Amino acid sequence: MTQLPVRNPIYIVPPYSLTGDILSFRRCGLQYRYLNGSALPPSRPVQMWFGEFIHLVMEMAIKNYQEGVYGDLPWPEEVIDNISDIIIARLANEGKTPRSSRLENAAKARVKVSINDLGPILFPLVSTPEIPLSGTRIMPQSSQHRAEYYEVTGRIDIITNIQIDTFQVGENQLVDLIRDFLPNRESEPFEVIVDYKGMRRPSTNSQDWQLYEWQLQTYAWIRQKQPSSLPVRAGLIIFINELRPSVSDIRKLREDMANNTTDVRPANATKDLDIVLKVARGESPFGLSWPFRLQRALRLVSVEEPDQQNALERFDRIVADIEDSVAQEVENGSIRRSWPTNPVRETCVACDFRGTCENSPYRGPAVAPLGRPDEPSYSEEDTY
Amino acid sequence: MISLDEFLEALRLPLHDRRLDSEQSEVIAYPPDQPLIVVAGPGTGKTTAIVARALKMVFVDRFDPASIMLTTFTKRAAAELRSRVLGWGYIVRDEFSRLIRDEQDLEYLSSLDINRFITGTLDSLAEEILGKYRRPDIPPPVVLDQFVADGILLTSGLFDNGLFRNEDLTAFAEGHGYTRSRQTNSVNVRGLTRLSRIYCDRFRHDVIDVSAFTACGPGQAAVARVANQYLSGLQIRGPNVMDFAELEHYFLERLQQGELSQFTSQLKAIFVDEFQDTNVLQESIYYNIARCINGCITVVGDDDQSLYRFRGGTVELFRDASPRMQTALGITSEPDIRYLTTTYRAPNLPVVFTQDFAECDADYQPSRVTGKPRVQSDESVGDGLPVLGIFRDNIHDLARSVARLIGDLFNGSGIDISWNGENVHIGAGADAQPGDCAFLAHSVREYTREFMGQPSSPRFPLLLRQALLELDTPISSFNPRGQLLSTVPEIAQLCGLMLECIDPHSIITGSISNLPPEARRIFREWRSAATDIIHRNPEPNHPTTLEDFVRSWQIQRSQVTGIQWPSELPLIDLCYHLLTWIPSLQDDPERQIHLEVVARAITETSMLSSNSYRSRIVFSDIQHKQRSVTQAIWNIFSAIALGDIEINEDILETFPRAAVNFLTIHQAKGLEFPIVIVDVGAHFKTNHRLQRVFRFPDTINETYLVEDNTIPFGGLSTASFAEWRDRAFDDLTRLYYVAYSRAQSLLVLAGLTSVLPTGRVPHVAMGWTRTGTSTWRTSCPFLRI
Repeated sequence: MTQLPVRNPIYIVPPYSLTGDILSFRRCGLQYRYLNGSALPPSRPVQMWFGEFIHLVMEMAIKNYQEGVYGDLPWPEEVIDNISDIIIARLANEGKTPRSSRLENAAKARVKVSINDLGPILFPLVSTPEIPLSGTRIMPQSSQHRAEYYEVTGRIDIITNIQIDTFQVGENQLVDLIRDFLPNRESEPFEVIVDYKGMRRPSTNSQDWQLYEWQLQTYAWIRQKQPSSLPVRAGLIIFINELRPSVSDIRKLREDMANNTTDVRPANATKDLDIVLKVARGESPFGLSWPFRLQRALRLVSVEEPDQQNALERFDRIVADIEDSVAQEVENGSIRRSWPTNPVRETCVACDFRGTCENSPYRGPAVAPLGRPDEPSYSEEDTY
Repeated sequence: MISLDEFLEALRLPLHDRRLDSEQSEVIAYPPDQPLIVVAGPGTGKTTAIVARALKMVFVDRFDPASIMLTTFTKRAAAELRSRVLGWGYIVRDEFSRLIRDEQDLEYLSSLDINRFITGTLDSLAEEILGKYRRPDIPPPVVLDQFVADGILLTSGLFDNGLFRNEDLTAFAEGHGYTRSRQTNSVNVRGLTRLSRIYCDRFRHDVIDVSAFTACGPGQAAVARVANQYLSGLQIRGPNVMDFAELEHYFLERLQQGELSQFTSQLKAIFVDEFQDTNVLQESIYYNIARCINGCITVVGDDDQSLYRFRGGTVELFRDASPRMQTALGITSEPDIRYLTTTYRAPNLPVVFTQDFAECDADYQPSRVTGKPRVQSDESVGDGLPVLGIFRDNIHDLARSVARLIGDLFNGSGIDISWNGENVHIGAGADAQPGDCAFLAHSVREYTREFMGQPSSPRFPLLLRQALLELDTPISSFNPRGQLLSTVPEIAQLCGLMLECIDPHSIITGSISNLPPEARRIFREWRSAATDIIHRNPEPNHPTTLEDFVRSWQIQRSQVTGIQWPSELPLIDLCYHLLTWIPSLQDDPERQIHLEVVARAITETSMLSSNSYRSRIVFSDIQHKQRSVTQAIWNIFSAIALGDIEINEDILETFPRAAVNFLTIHQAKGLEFPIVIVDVGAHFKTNHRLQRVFRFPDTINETYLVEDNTIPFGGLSTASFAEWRDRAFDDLTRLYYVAYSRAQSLLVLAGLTSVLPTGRVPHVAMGWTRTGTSTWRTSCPFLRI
């Protein structure tokens, strides 16, 4: 008898983006399959649009700063508006638009603060903006996996090149923070990896809080393999919303304070506390002090070797889970039976596929016009 | 230092102990600083050879991986190339790290970052490089999806200044086979868009002197004007907004002006795979880069597998690569050619069949690389199975017979054939699944298109799909590109429901005067499908129903107390809300691909017009509602109904193992399957003139006419090109050569008896030569079952 062979699997080292794949799958496997596997566009890409907008504006601003195009900071508002408009047009040409003019205006206001208030302490430290990263990891053992290795990819927003003892105390607030965070590193040049997040500071008990820390540690591991790198000593996450928070950001901060799930709260008997406790719907949370907003916006993360290994192993396991789901779908031909769900209310509420998701708290018939009876209306999306 | 022998020895590890043959080894060992052309037949390990050569440059010659660029034609091929570079590179590095004691070597190995190899398609690399190495005041390129670019071609190229009614353009299109409507006395805009797109791309790809082309006649001038308006249309949409052809042109300009010297100064070697599908513009890019790096270029390809002339691929560039490269690089002698001729894909019998096919037409031989040796199977593999043929008198019997063969192989006890006087039993192994079998055809559409009032009718892929499902143990098939999107039942329901919600009773649709009748008919079918599903009251239907939801949209009254109907709503919201009642669109991978196309149409359409409603339905007043719905009907629903939006080939990366894969021959390029069934004429019952273009061309078609019209104004000598008929025959030979060489074990030809070599319907796939006889008539190279 002549036995026909089985088809050889295509040799593949699957690429996994840290933010686009690994973090997304961790939020919800099924949603990840729809948005990343099938490339279905989310109906409300609010955070996606703002995230891309802030990255592109900051990249352009830093390049212009380094070339001295507009001189020292702060820049006139028209200059920043002009940069914003170029990026908005570019995103629109890629099919990405803000959901409302209110969101667009809020985004433009936030980049003004990011450039003119944060820029003077951040931009002088930048050695390189936008560094693509790629590393190769051994795929965790499992019979279902199609490859021995996987490629992990990412993009560092900024590398800062710092030697602390070249700065006087009080000369640069950011350096002072790093000095406090990394004692005994005064004379050695090192790098800090900076990552912007177009969002508020997450609750300390949230999944995102942990995932973003692992993300920076993984970036540090890859970065240190690049020939041009200095030792990476810390990661810095900048939560851009906190530089100019919205009412809903403040509302969530109040919830975090009540639940004891934030590490940065306004000090007692300060004007900041007063504003946080009293700001209500329809009011603008202007008046929060710059030190408080900066403190809320910045999170420094240690990148020591054991932490990196822990983060990498966590991500390896997530990749193995994705690979398992890929293999299951190929075998059984069912998307829903192959991809895990993660029915967390804050993920499900913005999910376009919740109506038929078996585990979603929002399962059931859609209701016109907005989908679900308890969904926030558009006018409540955010108030600035 | 690591020697070449040590490297080749270490490379056996990722190759599972297989030694490279002498031809592959020669390619790897060829001096790294000299240009090289590799001609590699199917399954001869071309990717293996170039990846190994690139890795050898790193481990033996100590090139920085970041100084080596590997590029190829498709995203799928680029992913495979990168996978091998990374996978093999790390295995070899770890092996050397284990074996080597020399401290300097160890230090070098530990400093190696294999991930820094530059890999990708030319377009993806151009976009990335232009984005990275640009002045801060120049925005990075924004590259539009083809569907969006075509929309701009329509609106800016044809509608601006009323060019779609231009008589010169209409007459020019008629000369290309398009028909003039009796009612409007012009060619329809879809036809004009298609023709204009071909010329716009050709102008760029072939580096055409458009002024000289324009001077040839009023039709040429008209199409050049369309192209010019289209380019202006791209420019007004934002700085550096471009299509893919423009991206390559822009990249070449930056290279020529030295603006990418920061990039080229870091580069030491470039590899180009699938070079046979390169066009003049791309060739110019590669040779410009090669000049910057002292000619350290390796190009790899196979002229017999060139399939993309219709997209601008120019196989003549590969055939003549040696002298062209010498001229472009300004070197004293022609670069060497190395051949890979031992195939590891299939045993002797199918390989001999495929090679005999390539050689059976004497008139095909001049179009091949001169002196190209014959591909042979690896001696250790043996003879294997003969090529089988299933030929039946009618298409229904043919579908049943092919389905039965697949059923017997995967569900039954196998099949018996008589070969060389012996009974041979063929069966699939215990681990085999229908996904080990591929059905390949020129087109895998399940229905014919409507034509001149003729309704669509079933095609062979549909009959085969049905016959597979009618087996005692049904077998499913995977054919997402087979169905017209508009006829997929779930898509019909979804689109019908959306139309019912935004335009109840077709009032707005009815008011659109120039909507194509075909679109109108399909809308009616969709609405009927929507009515059916509403009447079935699908789950979930508590506490509200689908009918409640649709009615609420129709009267614009919220189902939730206290919530006002908004002034505008994105159509994508409505699309996703309706999915609640069509669950298969969220569960079946094939249906998911169809849903992706609809969702893409909705979101990408928003870029077509600067005064667009951006795929939102506006309710603020009746005029805005009318306009926003009209725009959605034109840009989205009409495009879906008329099949203007294609399924993205890159989506089809993972084939389900439980289903027989239906693929076009173009899609199958680069893939291999244990069992391959090739449609060699399931529809060719008679020698019908309209079908001849697919099997025995006797009338020039658009691809060759456009080529003939543009070649004299491009960078290539007309002497490089054969007459159109020879090119058409050559391309058909290449198409079936690719199809036949996909089989790893069993190759089956399937068709009507009329296409048999002794039959009355000539077909290149069946050994017919352009002289009008089949070389298979006297000695049939397959076994009929």
